[in-house]
Amino acid sequence: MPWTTGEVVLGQYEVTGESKAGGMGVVNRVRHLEWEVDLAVKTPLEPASFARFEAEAGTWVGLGLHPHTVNCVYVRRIDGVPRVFAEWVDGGSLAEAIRAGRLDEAGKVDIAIQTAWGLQHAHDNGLVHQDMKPANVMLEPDGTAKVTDFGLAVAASEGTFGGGTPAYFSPEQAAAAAGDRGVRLTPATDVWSWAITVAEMVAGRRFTRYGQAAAEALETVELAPEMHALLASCFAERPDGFGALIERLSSLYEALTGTRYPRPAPRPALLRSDGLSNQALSLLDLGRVDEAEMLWREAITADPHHLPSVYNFGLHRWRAGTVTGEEVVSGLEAARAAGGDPEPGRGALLLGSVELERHEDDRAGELLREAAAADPASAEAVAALRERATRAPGISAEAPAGEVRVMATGPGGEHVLFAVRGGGLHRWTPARGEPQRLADGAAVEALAVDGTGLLAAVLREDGSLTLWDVAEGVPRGWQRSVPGATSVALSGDGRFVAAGHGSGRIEVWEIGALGGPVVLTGHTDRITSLALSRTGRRVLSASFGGNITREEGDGTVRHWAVDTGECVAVWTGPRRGTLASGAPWVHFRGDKVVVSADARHAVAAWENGPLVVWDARRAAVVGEASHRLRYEIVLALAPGARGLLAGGPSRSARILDPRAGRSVRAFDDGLPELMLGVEAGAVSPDGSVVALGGPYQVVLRAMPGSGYRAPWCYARPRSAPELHRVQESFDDLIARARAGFDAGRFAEVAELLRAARELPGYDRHAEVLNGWRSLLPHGRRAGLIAAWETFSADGRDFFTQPPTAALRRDGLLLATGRWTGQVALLDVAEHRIAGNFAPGGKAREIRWARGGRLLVVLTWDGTLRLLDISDGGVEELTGETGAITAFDLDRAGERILYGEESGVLRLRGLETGVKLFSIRASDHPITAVALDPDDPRMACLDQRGEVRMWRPNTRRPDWKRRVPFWRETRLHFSPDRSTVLIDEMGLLTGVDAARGKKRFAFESRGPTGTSVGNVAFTPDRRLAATSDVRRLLVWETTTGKVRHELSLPEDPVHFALGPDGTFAVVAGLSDTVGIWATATGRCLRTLEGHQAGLHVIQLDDLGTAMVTVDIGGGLRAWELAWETDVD
Amino acid sequence: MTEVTLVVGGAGRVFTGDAEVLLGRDAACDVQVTDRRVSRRHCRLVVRPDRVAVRDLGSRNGTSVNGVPIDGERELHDGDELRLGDTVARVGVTRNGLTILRELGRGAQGVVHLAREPDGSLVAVKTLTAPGATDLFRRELECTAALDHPNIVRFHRSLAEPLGFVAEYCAGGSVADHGPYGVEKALDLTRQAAAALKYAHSAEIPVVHADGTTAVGRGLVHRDIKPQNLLLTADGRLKVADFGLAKAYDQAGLSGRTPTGAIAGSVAFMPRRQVIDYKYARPEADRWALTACLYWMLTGSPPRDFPAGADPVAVVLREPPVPVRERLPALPAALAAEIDAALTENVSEPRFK
Repeated sequence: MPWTTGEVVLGQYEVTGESKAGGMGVVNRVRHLEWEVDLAVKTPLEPASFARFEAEAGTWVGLGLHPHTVNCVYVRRIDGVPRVFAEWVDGGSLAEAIRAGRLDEAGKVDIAIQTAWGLQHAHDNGLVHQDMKPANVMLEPDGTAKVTDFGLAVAASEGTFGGGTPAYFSPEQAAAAAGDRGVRLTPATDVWSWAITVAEMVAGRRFTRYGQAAAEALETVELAPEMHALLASCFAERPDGFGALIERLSSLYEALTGTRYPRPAPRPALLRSDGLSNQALSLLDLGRVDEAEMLWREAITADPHHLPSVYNFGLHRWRAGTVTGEEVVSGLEAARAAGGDPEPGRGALLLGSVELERHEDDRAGELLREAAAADPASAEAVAALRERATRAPGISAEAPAGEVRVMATGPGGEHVLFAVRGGGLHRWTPARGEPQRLADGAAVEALAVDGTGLLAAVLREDGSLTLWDVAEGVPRGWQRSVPGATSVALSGDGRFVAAGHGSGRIEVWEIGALGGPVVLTGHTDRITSLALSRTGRRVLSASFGGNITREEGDGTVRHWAVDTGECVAVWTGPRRGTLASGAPWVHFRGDKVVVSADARHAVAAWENGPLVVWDARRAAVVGEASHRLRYEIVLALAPGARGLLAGGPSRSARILDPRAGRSVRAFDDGLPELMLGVEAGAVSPDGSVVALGGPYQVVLRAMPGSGYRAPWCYARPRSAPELHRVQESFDDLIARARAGFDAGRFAEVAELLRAARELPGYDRHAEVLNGWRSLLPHGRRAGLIAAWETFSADGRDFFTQPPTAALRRDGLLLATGRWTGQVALLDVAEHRIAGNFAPGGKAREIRWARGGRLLVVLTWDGTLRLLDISDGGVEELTGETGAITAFDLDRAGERILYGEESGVLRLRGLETGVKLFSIRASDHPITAVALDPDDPRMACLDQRGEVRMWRPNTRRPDWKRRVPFWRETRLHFSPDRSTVLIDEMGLLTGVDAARGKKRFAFESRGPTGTSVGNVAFTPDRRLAATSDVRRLLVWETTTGKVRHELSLPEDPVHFALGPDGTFAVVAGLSDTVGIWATATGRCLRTLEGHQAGLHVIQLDDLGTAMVTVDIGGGLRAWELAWETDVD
Repeated sequence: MTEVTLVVGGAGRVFTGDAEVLLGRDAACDVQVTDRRVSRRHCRLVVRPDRVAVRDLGSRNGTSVNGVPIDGERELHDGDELRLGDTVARVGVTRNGLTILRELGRGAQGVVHLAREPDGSLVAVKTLTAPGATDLFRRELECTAALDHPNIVRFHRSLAEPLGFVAEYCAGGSVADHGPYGVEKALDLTRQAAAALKYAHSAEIPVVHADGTTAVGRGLVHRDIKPQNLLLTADGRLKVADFGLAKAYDQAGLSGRTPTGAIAGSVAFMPRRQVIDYKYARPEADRWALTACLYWMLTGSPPRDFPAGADPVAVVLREPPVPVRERLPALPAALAAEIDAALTENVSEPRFK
């Protein structure tokens, strides 16, 4: 375990110095070969002290950067041992400097001040160092002093005694050491030890053996009177901070040198995303997952496209099963597209590493080669490419001749056996290329392999049971006829074979032995899952309603001793009711049970019950969790019940941790496009790979937690002074930008923001993005700086279907309709539910009114609900003469027009509730209405397809007009009120609002069967967008003049227009969203993450907040940051 | 350095240092035992600097030490008899050529063992815990070999691995193991110790300078006189132990490492001035300590009370010694006055220079 000088650890750290004993264990000096930075690595000596070491390391990691503390870069486990990586300080310790006598008087005062600052930083962070002494002060060659070894530091709020060094003990530490349990340590303890340290430094020698005697011992030391007075006051007055002491020392320095003390008071450097991400990794290594996640969120908030954070956080959540591999990749691709990563090739390296872990080898190869070309020194790229080279080519392959029905795989996926529907038996050896047909025959019912994967048992529907030499691809000669058998198993050592029958009988043969099989009787129905232990002495069997058969099984799992033929244990499901006979109801049709090939475990997903792991040898339940398994047709259990493969019926396959019920890997997105469904699957006997089969496709995937794991990305540490300098210039630029903004000098603000953005680590700082946002109303929208997801939510079980949502114009609140009839308000900035309105009818359409104080909800029941978000009040409008079918609001959002089934139109003030007007507009149910933005003029459409324009107090409509299809048709006024837009299926017609004559028309190819219409408007409705074949047209609503034409890769289905019409957000039938510049026709960014087609895209009035909802209920909120050009 | 001698069937084998010795019937074993009742891989000897043990490797017929079958692992001592099947092996354990006999005592600084030299004489071996100690430390210790007085424990030689030294063995234990003592006995012991101190405080003794050179100095202060360091021979004579040890620790910068639990033990017999002033090492310090020892021999208590849970250093700093007659009213007044006077320290000493 100890490192030797010259050794290179992890291909990354060269050990450059002998190990030395230090306060926290052994200290090594290492050089990070890529960063060319020296680090001090501290390793605990004994495994027994790991936990304490990790706790200590955690305290230190949390301290953050300060110029006068040694910075802890990160903590990471190497070879299972936690190691602290800290800044390397070159000049040795103060203890050595004192011994060598190389400090002058002014230098001593300087060190006293700097160390006081360092301790003050710990105190400001609520920590007491507890072990201040010359050995824990490191000196840079330039004279900078840094306090180190926060190993004993404890939260000042706890104040518990953790140890320390007796010669520097404060009286309270000494009392605690002597056994006084009432002692609480405060910062005053550090002041005491610091004073001893300073006295020792000034005297040039250790002057007391017992820190608590320092007050008396100070009298034995020869010191200048001022210094003596200062230190004596520390012991006499017990100050609990350094404030006054630092001032006194500064004047001492002035008196001594005749010059002012040169160092400015330092301040802690705020960690940028780099540091936060490192800190998060450390906390993750220390098992403090929640805190780690919080820091990553902070890092991503600080810089949404910060590559290491996006990568590490994505990887972490992927491995935890909360996001899919595809989401990680899309997040990384977005971050990479946003650019600005200073390290060459890092984007490609990180993406390539993820793809490699996903077993997307082709893509991984491309990316890794790119990374290696960009940075040939990258050890990680080299290591990943080496791993890539070991991968068998073609980890998925075409299965000739049909649908894969059953399969089995040997260890590591060396050979995969599978049978297709027609009965063809195939072997796929990825190292040798495409699958090979071995034999034809009756349909194969079941397959099994032994522990080496070189011997296979093949059971066909006609009852023939044969053994095969897998490597040679030939039958072994051993065969039996077992008509009615439904399942087969081989012992791990390949000496026994077992068959389970439809009748419940199990037969076990010793291969090569004479005589008949051992027969196990006990099951009364079809054996659906069967396994033989390694030596063939035990059988584990299950009889359940399979996923593919009609039979129900007898509902038991049985564990057998083959020697005696005895059933040693029986396991049944939990009682979930009582049968008519009075017996407990323990067996449901939907129960799913599978046994592991080593016959050790069975896992049951009980219908209406838990997911349970049963240890057959102990006949005991060893894990229980909840599950949502219901329709899966493929189940396979890894040895040791380490993973449960659950696949089908569609293109989905997951690995679950059966003990926790958690999904640890979803393969769905990583499966080849051609694989339309998962219909067969197997886990290798060593549990390292899973094989999946579907129509014409077979796939091998690594089990999570096995094989290659993409390494964490540690960001290069930056020193506190470096961060300070940048932070200071940044703060200065932002302050000047603020002043400029207040003075209305917007062009200057834009320049300052551009300058601030250039600083390393600040390109997407929240302040810069805020600045641009404030500038947006004062200039022209220019380039898109960043687009990132601020949060996502799964509304599958909550939202109405189809989803309804309305983003308030300021982008701060989002209203969503729930299937329960509730309307939930989401605080977009805080990512939380801000309120919930009591259930009414299910929402059909939601709009904001009255300047964002009121929500208008039209329900499928035909009521209008007015929800007041300031007091939570709900007013319900029901149609007086039938259900309400449509509504519109005026420009100010103060008046509402609605139409009823009876054909009546009503206009009403929203604040006053006064009914302004009602008219019997048609004899038929109204299906759409439009209200003149400023006047009480209104258009309506009825179920006969007639559009009518009405004014108050008239008996006849101004005009009428027919449309061929009334369904899905909507009406809109242009903002200048001159035009009414009739938005029909496939056609958008602009008619003269005064006379009803057609002025222009656009063919639109919008989606059918949705209720959102085929047109998108800017908030002021001056511009509209309609879809065409692979095009989006942007035109003026008053004239119909086409302003822009976007060429798109697919037909636009859902889209939104940016407030000034400069950009459009477009989704086609796939689940990606594109942001397009209308003027240039360029795609600015592709946003990924949705798992289903989009249904809602809404933007706020500034075009900086966006909400998208897919048809599956997936909701995502995005932030778009724009640069602004100011003239 | 630990040496293990294994005598099997007349043939002796010696193993030194860190070693693992496999015994069994198999030819690949380090010590092959041709005995049908011995398993192929029977047991393993584990030789470490601080211990020697035997571990049975699940042999069919088991391993016994001195006739007792072992369960798993057992520590071995010099002279133990190891039985594998029908074969008997005799185990000899020596360290640095010395046969360790038994532990005599254990303290903050290390462990003391009784040992036998190859010539058969008995000696005390003190093994020191002194992390980071250098050769200088050993040389410093070697200097005390110059002390030659009937009331001072003879220093024989220092040891490197593990660090320690060999000294004269005093069979009567230490003053601390007995007592309290009658006035006559206590005064007699104190006089013997005082003679030793008087000799040492003025003896000619080599001094090692920091640069490694040696000069002849005069006088050595013990610095750590306490009842535990006043040893007794079998015939009841007193010998002062560990002369020079405290100085060597100080010189090597290793003092101040006293475990907190042992502080009370070490400051109870220290003058206040020595507790405060780390460099204070005058003969008076030893004389104060010896008076404190006398106080202890008479009363069974050190001059100050050290309540459990109180910081002993704080007690020394704040509390004056308890007048000896308060503990032992029967003590002759003149002697009591003399003791109290000798223990009085001037607390308000003038500041340095």
